[in-house]
Amino acid sequence: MGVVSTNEFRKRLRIMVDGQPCMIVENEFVKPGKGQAFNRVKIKNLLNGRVIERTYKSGDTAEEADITYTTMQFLYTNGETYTFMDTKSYEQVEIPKDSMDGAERWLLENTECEIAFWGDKPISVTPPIFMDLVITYTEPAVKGDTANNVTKKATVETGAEINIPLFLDQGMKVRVDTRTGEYVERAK
Amino acid sequence: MIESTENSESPRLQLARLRAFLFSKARAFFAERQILEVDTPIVSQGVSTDVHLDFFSTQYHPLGYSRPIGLPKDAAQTAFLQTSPEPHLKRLLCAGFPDLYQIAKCFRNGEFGPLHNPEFTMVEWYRRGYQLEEMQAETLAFCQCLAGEKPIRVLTWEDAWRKSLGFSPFECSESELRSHPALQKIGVQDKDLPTLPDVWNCFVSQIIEPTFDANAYTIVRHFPIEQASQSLPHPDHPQLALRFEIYAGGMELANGYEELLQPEEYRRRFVADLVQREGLQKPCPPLNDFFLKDLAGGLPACSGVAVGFDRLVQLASGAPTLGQCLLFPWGQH
Repeated sequence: MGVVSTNEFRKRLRIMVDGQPCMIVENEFVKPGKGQAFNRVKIKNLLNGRVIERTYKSGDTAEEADITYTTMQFLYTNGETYTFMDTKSYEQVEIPKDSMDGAERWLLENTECEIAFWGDKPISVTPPIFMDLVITYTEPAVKGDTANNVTKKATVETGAEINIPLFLDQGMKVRVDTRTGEYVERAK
Repeated sequence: MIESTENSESPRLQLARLRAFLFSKARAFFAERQILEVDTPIVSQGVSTDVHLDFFSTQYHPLGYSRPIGLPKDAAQTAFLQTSPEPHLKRLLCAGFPDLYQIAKCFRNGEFGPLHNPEFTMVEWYRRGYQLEEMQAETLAFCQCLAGEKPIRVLTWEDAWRKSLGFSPFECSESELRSHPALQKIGVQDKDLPTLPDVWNCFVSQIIEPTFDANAYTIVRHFPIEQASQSLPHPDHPQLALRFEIYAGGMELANGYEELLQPEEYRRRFVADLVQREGLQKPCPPLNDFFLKDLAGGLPACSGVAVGFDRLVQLASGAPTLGQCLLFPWGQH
């Protein structure tokens, strides 16, 4: 991978910081009239998701991080690893549960996810923003409940637990925002 | 903020009207005070030696006349785009000119960001016989005239540290400063701050200035002598310089001095700049001989200030970036 200078920094550029692959989230040139110029950068660590601040001397360089994104289809899991397939090359990759970032809660067979690779190591899995899932278990709403509760717990077909409005029952399909794990609306 | 005559006018035209209005306000400000408008070269054989300014340079090709004997036919002369009109305005003062001002296009290579454009407009003026306080008051009046009145905070450079961070940099060692958690938090590398003034500048510009009241003008006075630039040392506290800056929130608007007078001290400071530039492997311009020669004729006691006009436009219009206050920002120039 090449080297980039601060004047090439932009959002979404992926660079190495302290030996870790990161993505630039914000980049701002700052300079007092009679002082040195800096680039104030907010950087997201692609391994642990944390956002840190860095102040680079303007003109400094950083190594580009070898990060690629591939769309892959979820095939199956054995509980410990999750197997995905590249729909173009048919190559398969097994991702340990630790690296799944909780994405496994929303996956149905053949769900397409965006997988980030650092070199050839998968480091993150992003499922589709919305998933339509069948409610496999929930308690029926009891009259009088509405005074105290607005939502109730439910389990969906992937095994994940979410909160749903009281009027929904088992067998109904719901749309879930996978970024927050929250019920969005009834799905068809 | 000036109202446009028709709501359907493009934002760019509205911007042009605002700029024109503020230019006329500036001229009226100076006319009221009988300060003479002058215009001086943008291209010059000399340029500022400031360590942290990168200049644009260009080539002049003589066409056959006024070519020094012995110079090859196609020899070019390097000339520089001015980073500030200061040298020319001071040369005029040395020639006996009265109080004067310029609305100058200035050029600083590489400076592009939310508050920067490589080409920008500076309003710079000088007042014979003014001391720092008077210059500061007049500069504040100018800012208020163009960008509106706001509450005013005044403090010394040292007090700005105490107020923001709870300590004075004069009361701790360089290594204590360099290992301060505030520097770790912004993730700046020690190697990028080669000198102690670089450490100070980083603290002030990256940590202290952002804490200034967003809705007030903040005036900071009495910078350390190491950051005097072309200002006089404080007569009672030689470790301080007679320099002030005015901010709106954390945004620098103006930089003013009670001006240095001695030509030998100008020369000494310029040479020190060049030594530092060489150490940082930055291009070194020649010493500005015309400037130094004119200074030997005597610069009258005076104070001067440089104000970022486009930033006043930014303040007046509420635009989020400087580029949105220019008709042709860098990138569309």
